[in-house]
Amino acid sequence: MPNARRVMFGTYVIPTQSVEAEEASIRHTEFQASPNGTLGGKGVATINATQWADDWTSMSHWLSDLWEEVGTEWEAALSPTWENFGTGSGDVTITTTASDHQLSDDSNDLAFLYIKNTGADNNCLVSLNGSSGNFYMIVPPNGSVHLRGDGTDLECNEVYVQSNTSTTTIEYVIAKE
Amino acid sequence: MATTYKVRYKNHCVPQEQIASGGRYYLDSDCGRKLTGNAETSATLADSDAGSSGGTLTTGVAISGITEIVTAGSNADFVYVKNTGSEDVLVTLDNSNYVILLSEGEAFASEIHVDSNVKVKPVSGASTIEHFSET
Repeated sequence: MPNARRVMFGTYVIPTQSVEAEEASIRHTEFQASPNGTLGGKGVATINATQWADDWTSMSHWLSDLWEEVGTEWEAALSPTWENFGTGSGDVTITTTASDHQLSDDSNDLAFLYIKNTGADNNCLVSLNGSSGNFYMIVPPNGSVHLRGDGTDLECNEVYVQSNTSTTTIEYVIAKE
Repeated sequence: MATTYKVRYKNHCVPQEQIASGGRYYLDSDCGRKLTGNAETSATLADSDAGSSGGTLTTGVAISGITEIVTAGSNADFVYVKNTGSEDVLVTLDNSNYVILLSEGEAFASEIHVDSNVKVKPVSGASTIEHFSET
């Protein structure tokens, strides 16, 4: 168990405009007039050294490193082959049923959340107030979102995700205070 | 000549762990790598033929109470907000749950649902922000 944990994070935004040339169907991309440049910010979130469970990050697959917890029937757990032993890729498949995709059942305050949509076609929608809450954050394919919790109201168990249609895959970090 | 507008954005993070008190931080062994996403707004935002002139960055906004940066019903697709002051700032996307915390120098950027109503307020005292949104 580590002595301490933290997450360094940053945001980088480039507002662009695609301008059509005068006499031909040629376009070029440039900065938008405002801000006429890039935007961004960075910070450090201190998170609890002892997280709420091993799956506080989707990269920590339950089969990938907990050999001693596989149990006495490991043959069944690993059936049919070693290839099922977990890749550690971190990808988790989600559907349009939000209630199936609570990222954590822990009731501690949320310190830091990161979600990346690793799918190719559909958006990942994120709610910060339960499965019937407002899914107002949209993560497109290959996009990501991160945030720090307020430390009092937002709990780990209030984060739900769903695909806007069919399925997609995500990787995530959800860390408690 | 239509001009179309988009936003390319990246949110990245590096989980780290410290093995011994006072020691250096290493890449967190539970994650094993740096994490990042890189995307362009999924829909082409409004073009100039539709009367849009793209987004506008607003800087140096002093806040001492609740301040609205994306109005409900404005159909905004993307929001960026950065805390440029020294007091912590809370952000809500739905006009009620102020659960996103921004300390000095930190920023939040995301595509948002068209019904979003984005507001900010300082945790205490007053702070300043800059924000950018686009419809």
